[in-house]
Amino acid sequence: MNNESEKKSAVLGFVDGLIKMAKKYKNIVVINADFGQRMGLEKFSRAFPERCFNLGLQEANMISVAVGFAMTGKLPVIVGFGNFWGKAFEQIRNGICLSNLNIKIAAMSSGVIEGQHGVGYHVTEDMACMRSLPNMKVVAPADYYEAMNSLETALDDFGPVYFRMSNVELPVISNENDRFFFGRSKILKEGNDVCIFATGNVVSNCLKVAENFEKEDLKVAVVNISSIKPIDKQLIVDCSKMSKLLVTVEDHNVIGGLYSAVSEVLSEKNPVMLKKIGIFDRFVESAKGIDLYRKYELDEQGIASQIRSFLKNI
Amino acid sequence: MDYSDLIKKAAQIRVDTLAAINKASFGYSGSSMSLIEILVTLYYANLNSKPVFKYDVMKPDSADRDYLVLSKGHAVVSLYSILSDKGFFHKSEMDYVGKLNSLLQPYPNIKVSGITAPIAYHGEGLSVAAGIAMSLKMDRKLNKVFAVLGDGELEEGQVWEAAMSAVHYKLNNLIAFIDNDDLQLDGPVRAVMDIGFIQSKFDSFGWKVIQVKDGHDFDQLLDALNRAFTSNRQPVCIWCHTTKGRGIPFAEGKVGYSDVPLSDAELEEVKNYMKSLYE
Repeated sequence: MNNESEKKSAVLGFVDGLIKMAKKYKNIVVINADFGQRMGLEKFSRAFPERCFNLGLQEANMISVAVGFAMTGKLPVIVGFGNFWGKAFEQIRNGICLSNLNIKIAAMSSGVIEGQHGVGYHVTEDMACMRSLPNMKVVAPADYYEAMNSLETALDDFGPVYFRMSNVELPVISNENDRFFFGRSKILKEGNDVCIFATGNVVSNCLKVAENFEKEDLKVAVVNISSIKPIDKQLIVDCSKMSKLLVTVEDHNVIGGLYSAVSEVLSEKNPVMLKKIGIFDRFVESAKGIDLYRKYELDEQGIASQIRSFLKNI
Repeated sequence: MDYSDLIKKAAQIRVDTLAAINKASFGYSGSSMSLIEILVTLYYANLNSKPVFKYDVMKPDSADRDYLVLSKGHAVVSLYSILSDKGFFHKSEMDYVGKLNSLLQPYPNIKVSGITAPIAYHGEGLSVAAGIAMSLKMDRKLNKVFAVLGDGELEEGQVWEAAMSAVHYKLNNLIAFIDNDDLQLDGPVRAVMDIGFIQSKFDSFGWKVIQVKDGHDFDQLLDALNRAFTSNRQPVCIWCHTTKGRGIPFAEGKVGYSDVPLSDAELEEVKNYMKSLYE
């Protein structure tokens, strides 16, 4: 665990990691669609101006252009807002995944965290879509360092990867030396009463929930599932055998996301009851991200109260 | 190759293509005929005593090669015929186009030697070509990028996104052929979704447009390419008027033949017709 007062966004970690890795791999090019400023990409473009390409508001074109870059031996990192899964799904499927090209895609504001921009900017279906694409790997880093480390692993590896991040400052819960591996998850906190599987933006909230429950003598384990696909099957099965209550928490529609991914593992290997916390198959209104988290019970209090009600009904 | 050799080569590629489509019992006979001369010009013709399109059969991934993006991916069998004729893969592969476990899929797939860009659906090719061209410009390389688009494809919005970005990045190494045969699956392009005047559309985006009145005439195609190679700071659109089903006497300009294979009897008729013309 790191210094608790430290707060940094995952996007910042991604950009810092990108600058670090661009020195190692000279063929990295960054392609974005008019979101460079907002996502702090100017830091990268100052360091490598000739390796940055802005395609304007042409998400579909941007993906296909990246395919062209990959054809000439470049390593494109596509940076954008998070709506690709809808605007350019076909291009990702046919262009990138079908040929298994070495292209990394970073969605910089996933979930409902970009609350005030309205429902068009909420990204709560991307895990479901990206998970279903052959060859695609899906990663949802929980904090600054995990974003940096997972990018490093992804760039050392070959093939398409989808990163699901957000541009809000989150408590730093990992450190620089934690290596990231595809298909491996980490138990952030041990416990054998309740086990929370969490991913992305909400992991730090879950950790706080677990700490609060400790005062009530309820031992809550928190597993950070940052590698959504491939997923750590063994760890999920092991955790499911240890705890009385299993819960997934995600800033995503409960259909097709982490809940589905964990259910797929459990229904095959250890069919037990699994509860879910997330966005319950609905559109969410426009409001501040923090207020949306309160209303849809993804903040500390919300998660804790939902877990309490699950415990009552066991 | 001189003019008469090119004509003979085009006839041979036509027959090979139709035979492969016939064997697969699936394919786009008519659509594969309209761009034969464009592809033959690229792969066989010389311009100013240099090959138009640079490729190396022994080293298909060589750094000096030019790139061809066949955005009109459903006409890929024509390209396969040329690649097999050149020796990129064995001719026997042509018997298994689109069959189970075959190398040659009915869309351009980069697993095939000689295919330089993957296309699985129309509308994406010009963007891929622009991406390749941007990357080559970034490395200050002189390789050229060619794209071949159908005219029905111009109805796709992404084509115009690509057109805009190609001008923005001053991609004078990008040359896009428009295979304008005026027909698409549901009928004349003008009736299905009128794309308007191609010349002024690309003009207004900032492209250099060169019109080829007969896209089946090698002299006109070579003349257009000669002008395209000297483009300064602008991508080039070579707008070719072509005929769907060209070279099949009974199928020229007919929608019905665009997406079906020829029957054995029809294929035999075409073969005899080609023989009578050139032997």
